[in-house]
Amino acid sequence: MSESTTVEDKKSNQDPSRRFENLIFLTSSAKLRKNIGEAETDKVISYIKSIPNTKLVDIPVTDKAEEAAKQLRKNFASSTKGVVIVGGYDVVPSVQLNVLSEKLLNEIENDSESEGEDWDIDDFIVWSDDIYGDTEGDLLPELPVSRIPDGKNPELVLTALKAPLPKVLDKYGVRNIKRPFAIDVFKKIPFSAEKILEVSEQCSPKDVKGKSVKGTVYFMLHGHDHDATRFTGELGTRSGYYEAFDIYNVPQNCNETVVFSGCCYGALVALPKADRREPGMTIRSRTHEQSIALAFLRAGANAFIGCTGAHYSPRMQNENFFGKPMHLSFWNGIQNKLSPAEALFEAKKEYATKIPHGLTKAIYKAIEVKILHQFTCIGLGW
Amino acid sequence: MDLKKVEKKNPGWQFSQKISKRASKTVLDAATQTNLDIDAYNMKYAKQIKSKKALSDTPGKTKLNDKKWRMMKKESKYKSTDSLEDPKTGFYDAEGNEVASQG
Repeated sequence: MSESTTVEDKKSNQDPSRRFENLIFLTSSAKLRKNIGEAETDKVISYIKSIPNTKLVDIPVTDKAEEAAKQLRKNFASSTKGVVIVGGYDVVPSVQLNVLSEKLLNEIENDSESEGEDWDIDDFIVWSDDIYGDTEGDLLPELPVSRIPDGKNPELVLTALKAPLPKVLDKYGVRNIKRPFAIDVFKKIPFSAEKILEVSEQCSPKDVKGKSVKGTVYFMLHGHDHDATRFTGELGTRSGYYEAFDIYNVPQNCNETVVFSGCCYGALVALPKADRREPGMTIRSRTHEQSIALAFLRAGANAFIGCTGAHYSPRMQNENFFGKPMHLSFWNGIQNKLSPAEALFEAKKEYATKIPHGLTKAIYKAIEVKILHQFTCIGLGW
Repeated sequence: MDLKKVEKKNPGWQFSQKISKRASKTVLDAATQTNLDIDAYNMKYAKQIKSKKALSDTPGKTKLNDKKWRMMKKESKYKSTDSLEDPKTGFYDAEGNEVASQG
């Protein structure tokens, strides 16, 4: 198993015949059939089987991610390059992960400086797929993991499976006017033609030119767990929020595109959010009409990177903590010709190594641990 | 933390130190809990990052003066007529400046 992305890996990304070499596709076809249909699932399975030098692992239906991951691990080889999950959380379960260790929780509770301080809105519990790339049993991955949620739509799954790699031709972004740190990130995003970083409140859904939203796309806006069809910014001159981008702005055709979203819940593709999921509660998958992330996949985007819980970011341009280092590392990876799944994996590794990015209070360290675990790659990613 | 300073520096917002609701015991029991501490995160990939030089060239180890920061709920006094916005978490320094935020 590769320890980190090598020059050889990068070469294989650029060679179409080797692009999927040594990938494992993981699904539970019995459940997928219920979501997208019998014949449609046959088409998906047959397409995956036709990809040379890959392996399909079809597991029995389970709602326990640890059990599914155990089944998967039996199929790992030293050459395994990554895992692509096919299906939503009800097909292959995600881990309901409490990112606070007992030690860190105690540290926060015993910190007199944090007395009466607010708490994370998700109670530090998020959905995470990293267990499917974890061979050491510590819930941190040794392999990149991506997920193509079925969104109850066979066309979405097949389009996403066939999505071409992103091309660094255009870049597009929208940032909250109160998050100038995103200017630094946008500068890192590679491009060779258009370059627009829109700013809310100047940018509203009516102003977005759909055709510009392709290539390398960056959102640094507010997202919402109860409504995944819009991202908002803030008002510049007074308090309040301003809608910046909505699902109707996703172009019909978004081939050769990778999206990175620093928005709360940007990659939450099912409900409830993890801290609300009581035992036995049914997972409700979002569709491409209910989620910007899935709308991008349906339109042919290769990957949508985002968070499954609330995201946090610094205010000032010169600060580099909370979400910003992850954003920078990810786009550096894309610039270095990594696939989106690999770029996120490498960004997570670098982020983990540098936690807490200069922060000293225990609760802020915990926020960084949450950021590390909750970023996820939706889409093929390879 | 002087709440008045925060309000003065951030007009149009109202603040509360109301603690966000925690997950139920049944959710906490059902969730998978990590047992890693910060050192374990730092060590996990350290060799890999060192050996191939970190992808990001940005600094990340300068100590921040965050001991006096405060995490608070903020809510706009102006309510949007288009769509409702939940209260969000903001982080404020001793002078009342917003240094970070949810989102």
